[in-house]
Amino acid sequence: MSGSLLLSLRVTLTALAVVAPAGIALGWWLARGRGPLRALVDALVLLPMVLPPSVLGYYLLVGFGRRGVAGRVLAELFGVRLVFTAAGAALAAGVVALPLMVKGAEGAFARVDRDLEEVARVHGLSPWGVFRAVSLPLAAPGLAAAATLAGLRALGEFGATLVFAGYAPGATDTAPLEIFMALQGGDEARAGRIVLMLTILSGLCAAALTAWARGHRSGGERS
Amino acid sequence: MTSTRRLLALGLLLACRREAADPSLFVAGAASLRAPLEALGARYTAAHRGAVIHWSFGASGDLATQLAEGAPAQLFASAAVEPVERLGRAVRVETLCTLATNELVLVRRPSPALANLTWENLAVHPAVGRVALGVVPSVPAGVYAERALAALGALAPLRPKIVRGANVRHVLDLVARGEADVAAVYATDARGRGDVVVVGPPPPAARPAVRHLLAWLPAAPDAAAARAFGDFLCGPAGRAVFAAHGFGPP
Amino acid sequence: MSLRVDATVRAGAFEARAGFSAGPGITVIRGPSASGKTLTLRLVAGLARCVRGGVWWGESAWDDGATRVAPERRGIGYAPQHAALWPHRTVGEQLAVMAPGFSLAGLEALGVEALLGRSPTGLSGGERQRVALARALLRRPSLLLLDEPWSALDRPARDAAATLVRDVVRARGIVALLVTHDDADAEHLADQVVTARDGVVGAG
Repeated sequence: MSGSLLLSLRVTLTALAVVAPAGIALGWWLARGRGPLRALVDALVLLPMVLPPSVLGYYLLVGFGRRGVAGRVLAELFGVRLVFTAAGAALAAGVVALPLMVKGAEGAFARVDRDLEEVARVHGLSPWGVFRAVSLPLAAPGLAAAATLAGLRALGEFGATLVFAGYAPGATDTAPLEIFMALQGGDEARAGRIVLMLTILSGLCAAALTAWARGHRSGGERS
Repeated sequence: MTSTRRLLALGLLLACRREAADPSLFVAGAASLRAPLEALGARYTAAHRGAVIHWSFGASGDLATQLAEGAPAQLFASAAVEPVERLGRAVRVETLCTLATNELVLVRRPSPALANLTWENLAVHPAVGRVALGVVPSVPAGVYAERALAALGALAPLRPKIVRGANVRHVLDLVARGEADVAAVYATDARGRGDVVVVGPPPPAARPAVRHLLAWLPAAPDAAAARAFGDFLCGPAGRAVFAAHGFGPP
Repeated sequence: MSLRVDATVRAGAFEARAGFSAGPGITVIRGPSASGKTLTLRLVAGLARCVRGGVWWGESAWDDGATRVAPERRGIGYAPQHAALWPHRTVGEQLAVMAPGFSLAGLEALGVEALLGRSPTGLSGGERQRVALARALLRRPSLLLLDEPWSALDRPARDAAATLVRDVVRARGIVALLVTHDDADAEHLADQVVTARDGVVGAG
């Protein structure tokens, strides 16, 4: 049981390591950008949220399976296989977590007072300097919330993981998959234990986030 | 899970259509038996106008679990004996006959690196990265494969390389798609597939006896009507169709 | 150095036409609200794009449709209408980010030394405006943009700030644009007055 929980944590953290910076960058761009490209990116980012998980898993297979468009390149050039590996599970988890991160980050940046950024710009800060000195610190609580929600989503990811990464004990048997397999095999006791641990873990994360957000009230938000 | 819901929903529909002409037949069948069962079903409904058959295919262990929970199938075509016995501990079942026998075989990807693969050298073969087996205990082929491998002393060394499929068809598909190098399936599953190469059955000492059974659930709704279809499956027409699909005689 | 503006600028549905020149000294832009004064300042600062025409600083074009100089490269000091101080840094910290190693020498009249360790969220409106003025002058800008910069200060503080600005502008030859409602400002400070009305600033 602890094996699958540890694997779940590893997979989630791996997914977050990519999703958090990518989500922040995309969220920033969506909050500040305009034009037809923005609308397209917005729709693409939302796609994993609106597609059923098994459909998502199928598309991942088509793209990243051994014969897939990208999978073929990865396997032949880099020797990287995704199906039946923890990396594949992390990809599935990351794909479903990304929309939450992006949308949360977009909201956080949208709430940062534009005047504060502009006055910094006029007084000599480059766009990147403004991001680092103003936007990022002021958006930080919202970004942390987004990352936590995205992480919890990745932790609980099941459907796309099962279809794409498959069931490889030791590599892709994350906690949600193990619960399902245990129930399938009639082992309700084992399923119940994993459910309990997962619930406690998720609850702790949510509580920690709420406590941190409450103690970290900062101004700079549009009234 | 979806098959249970489907069966339960159709069962509800059935209950509402008490006055309908012919009752519907619900048959739960192992994935490996799908082709011959559907062929026989087509023949039966052609000869008995009005008969409607609803199929549900999956791993025998999963089906047995669903039927034990009350899914309203009247007939259960199992890939092995054990699921029927397990079901029999929960509800009344009567084994009507052995539908057919089969062989457990190893299949592999067409790669030349695997050309000299056998059951005996499977555990140490350098080109074997992933071995696909059915999930145990719900997929009998997976159980059989593990028993055969254990008899050869190969199960423990192979464990890190074992990946699972939800039923035998899935397992076969994993090799066909190149995600696994080797799989253990029934000979009938691999028949006619150009995208996998059949290695063969295990050595005689490790070879399992594979028997596909047909069980009837007398306590299910409209069980009597289903009995006729069950007898048809067990009769000469059944034998002929199973043989035509490459199964061994019962 | 002098500033020349001859442009149409848009913000959402609102459009303004600005046409005027400003040399060293204080140019007061006077007019009722929503007449395009703030938008003109934003145009000069590089925070709003011109749709037609352009903005020139001496010989070089800051914004003329073909080229556009980024705001941070224009050497401007800007005191916006509501100070816009960062809430997440103390006064001293944020001034240091924008002008590392800054010195308040010459700006004592604004009384900002006492506020350096304070967080902006605890400051009064007047204190915030004084900090914003200091910030605008810290980097020794060649162009000063002031948008109602002392509206929250009482009379004495206001006079002190206005005197300071006039002296600094004269001493350093700064081009300063001052947006104000106050007629007294226009009388005592203006070297030039530009009127704004219904979206037309200056000659239009």
